[in-house]
Amino acid sequence: MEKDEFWSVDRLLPKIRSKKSHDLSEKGAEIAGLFAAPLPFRAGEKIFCKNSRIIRSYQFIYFQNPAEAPLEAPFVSVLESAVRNREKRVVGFAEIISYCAAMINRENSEQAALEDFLWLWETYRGDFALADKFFCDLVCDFCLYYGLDFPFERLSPLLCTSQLAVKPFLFNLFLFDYLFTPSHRLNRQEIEFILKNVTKTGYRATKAYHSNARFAGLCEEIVFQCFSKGLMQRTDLNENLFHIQIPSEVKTTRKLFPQIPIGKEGEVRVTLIFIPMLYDENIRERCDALLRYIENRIREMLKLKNSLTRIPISPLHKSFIESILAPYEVQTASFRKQAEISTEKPDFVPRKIEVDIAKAIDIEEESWGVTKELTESFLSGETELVAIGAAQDEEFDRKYAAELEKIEKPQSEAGEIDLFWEFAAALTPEEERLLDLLLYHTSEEARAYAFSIGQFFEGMLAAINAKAQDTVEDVICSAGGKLFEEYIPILKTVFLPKEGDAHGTGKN
Amino acid sequence: MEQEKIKIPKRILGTLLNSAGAGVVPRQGLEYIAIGREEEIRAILRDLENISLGMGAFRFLVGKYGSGKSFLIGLIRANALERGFICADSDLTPERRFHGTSGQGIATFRELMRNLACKAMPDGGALTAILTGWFAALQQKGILEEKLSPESAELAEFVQREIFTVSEKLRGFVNGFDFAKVLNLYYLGYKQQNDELCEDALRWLRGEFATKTQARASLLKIGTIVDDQNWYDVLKLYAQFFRAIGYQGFCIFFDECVNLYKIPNRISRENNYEKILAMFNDTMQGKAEGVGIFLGATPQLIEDPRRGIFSYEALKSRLVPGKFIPFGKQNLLSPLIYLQRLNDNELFALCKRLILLHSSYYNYQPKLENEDILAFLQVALDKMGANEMITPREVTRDFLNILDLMFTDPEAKFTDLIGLKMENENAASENEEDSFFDLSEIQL
Repeated sequence: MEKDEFWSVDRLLPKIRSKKSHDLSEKGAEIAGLFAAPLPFRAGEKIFCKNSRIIRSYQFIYFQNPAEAPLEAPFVSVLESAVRNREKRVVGFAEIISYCAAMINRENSEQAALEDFLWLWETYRGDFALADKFFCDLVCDFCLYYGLDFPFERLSPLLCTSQLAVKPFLFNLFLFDYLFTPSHRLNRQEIEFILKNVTKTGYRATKAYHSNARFAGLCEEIVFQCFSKGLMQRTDLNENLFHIQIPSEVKTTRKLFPQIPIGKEGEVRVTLIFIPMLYDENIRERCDALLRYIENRIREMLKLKNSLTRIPISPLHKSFIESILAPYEVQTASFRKQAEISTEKPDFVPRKIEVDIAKAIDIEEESWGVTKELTESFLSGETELVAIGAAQDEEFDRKYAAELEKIEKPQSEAGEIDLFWEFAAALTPEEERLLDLLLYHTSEEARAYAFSIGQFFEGMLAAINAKAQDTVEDVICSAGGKLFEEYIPILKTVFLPKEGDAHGTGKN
Repeated sequence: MEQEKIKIPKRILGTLLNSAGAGVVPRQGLEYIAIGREEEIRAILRDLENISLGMGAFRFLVGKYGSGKSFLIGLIRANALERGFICADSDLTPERRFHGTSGQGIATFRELMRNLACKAMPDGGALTAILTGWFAALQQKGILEEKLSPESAELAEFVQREIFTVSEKLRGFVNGFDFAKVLNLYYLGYKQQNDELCEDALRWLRGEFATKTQARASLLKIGTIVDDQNWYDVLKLYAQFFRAIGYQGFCIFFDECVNLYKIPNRISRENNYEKILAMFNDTMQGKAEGVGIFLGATPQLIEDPRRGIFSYEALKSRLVPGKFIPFGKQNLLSPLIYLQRLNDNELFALCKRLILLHSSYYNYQPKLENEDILAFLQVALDKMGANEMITPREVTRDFLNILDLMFTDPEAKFTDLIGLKMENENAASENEEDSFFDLSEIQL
């Protein structure tokens, strides 16, 4: 795809979409003010005051009347010759500013002056902390002033590695006129620059990135691959990426050469109209979507549990990213498989039950011993042998006779009645009377009876229950005196109504 | 040789089968299905003997849900009742804890009093029976030994004197004097047929007075109550009282202690653990005579170093197993008793026992062979994690359900019920040695 074609479908920068920044004045940004007029220094500027006295006196005299300059070899000339020969001299930053101020006015050699500025920037940026910002502004304004192409290619390493806050209008040009040009292949520094300025997803800040070296390595590699192979340079990308409300134009007035001591009458102001893409949240979110998709896919590849919130991206981007991921996925799957082989757990195989039936039957038989031990206190060694009630057929006898020898049939009513007779025999006449009242009258009457004989109702109930426990092996009434339903029929069989009662009581 | 037969009352057997079939632990009849816990049971029976001698006991019964904690607690409780102990039990819940700012402690005490049980009243609510039984015994003593007339005022005075004689032993305990006073008032109320006085006395004894003002305004005219602060001390007082009136001791059971683990607030959780520490110290140092405290807990509650009891260093250092205990062994004399999974033979024996009990209760001829039990157990184990996770609760419930179905629907086939189709149904019956079926013969 040709560059022009690329831009022809782009709706991003309708006003400054030209590939040459000097076209700004014609097609986009309107530049107003003086053009190429001499810029006299102004004594009041702060930076100028920092110049040495000799330089200051030279500058005053030189600029007012060059013929009367006090020095035979003017300072600017000395630095100029050094710059021309590309020789680094030990100088102060004030000298550099003075030189640059002089160079701005050099007529008919703008391109050479720009080259000199760039050389100075590259040469002295390590010596002076202010150099990056000063030269960035200077070069930007110089290009605007003289209508030169901004040297993005040359300055890319400087811009991308410096901590400069790039001017928004310059950022637009840098990003879309240079970095996203289809023919341009982004290097790592430029990708870092884009990630820093256009996205807010910090994949390097995640827990997985710091705890999982493989994840970190894959992130670095795949993100680089995606961007360097033109993830954000695809035509559809721009349509999709910016398939959002494009921010409205911004009109701003910029004072050129703010750090050069120029007299007030020589100030140059330009008016710039541009779309502030740098600060647009929607664009950042769209870029984030791409990064998140990449990161989530890497997490999937590595089977990491957590993932980032998914934001939809276009199918074209998806297929592009997938094409980049494909070889890594194969590699990761193979790596994971190898890792799994070493720690692989065997498939679930149900354990075959291991029962020694003879031993199990022994356990079952011996557990009757425990049962006996647990119930021994109420058996009190007086356990009666009770015959099994119902006759069993042969098959039943064969299978279970031995076991059933140990257990009494609960349905053996004949035996049960015997137990209740035993229980009745153990009761005192008062307790028997109380039980009789509970059976055929009400618990209130029983309570009144207990009181009438100077006894306690609950105490008598407890005594009756205790005797029932010892004989029938179960209690027969609750704490309130309510007889259990199961035992009422048999109790009524044993304790018949007596004469004299309302129902005609009389002990059986 | 003729053997002693075990008599199982029908009511108890019916309750046992119904409860176990529903997956809950019945209150009675547990001793008839006590299989595979002999060591643990014997260890705790030793505790009961110690308690009856005036010592204390403190045990955590630790196991997963369904491993048999509640079963073992029920078993010990039933046995302790039979041996003449007084028992009280309570399930801990968010509203019932050892300590809380909204009356959770006293709620636990009230629940314990509600479930207070003795041999004659095993289902709870035994406080009045215990007290009146004691009064009756004192009256009997007065009549027989002092030759007092049953209707005479001297008998009442004698009983009151005896009450205070016993109460003298309780003076050293928190609320000891008031406790004796309330007992005396309860006796007087009963003798005078003053139901209101009796009711007030019982309210005091059960910790049901919410404020001291209420207690003062009642017929008791007592300025102290059982509250969140002193309920545990009153329990110790009860233990001493029960021993003084002739019982073997006082066993207290707390189940579902995992609810303490679930307390979200750390300070509140630790306050509860502190109460456990106090119980542990009292019982083990002999400060609480004749008291046995048994708690049902999950391994999570005990071992979680962040929220469990082991997060509380004072308890951890007391409870953590000794370093010389070999792996896989446990010291059954230590406060922690871990309930291990029943082995295959024990599960088999359990199923066999269930068949016996079920057929006895419903009076039918059991049709199931040993091979059927094996097939059932194999199906139960034939799932991921079952080897470690299978619990007696699951086995009992599922097996009883199958027995119920087979009883109600005689046409139902066992293999269909357990979801199996044997390819060769008759193969198993040819040779008992070959009756262990192979998995390849089974189609799920």
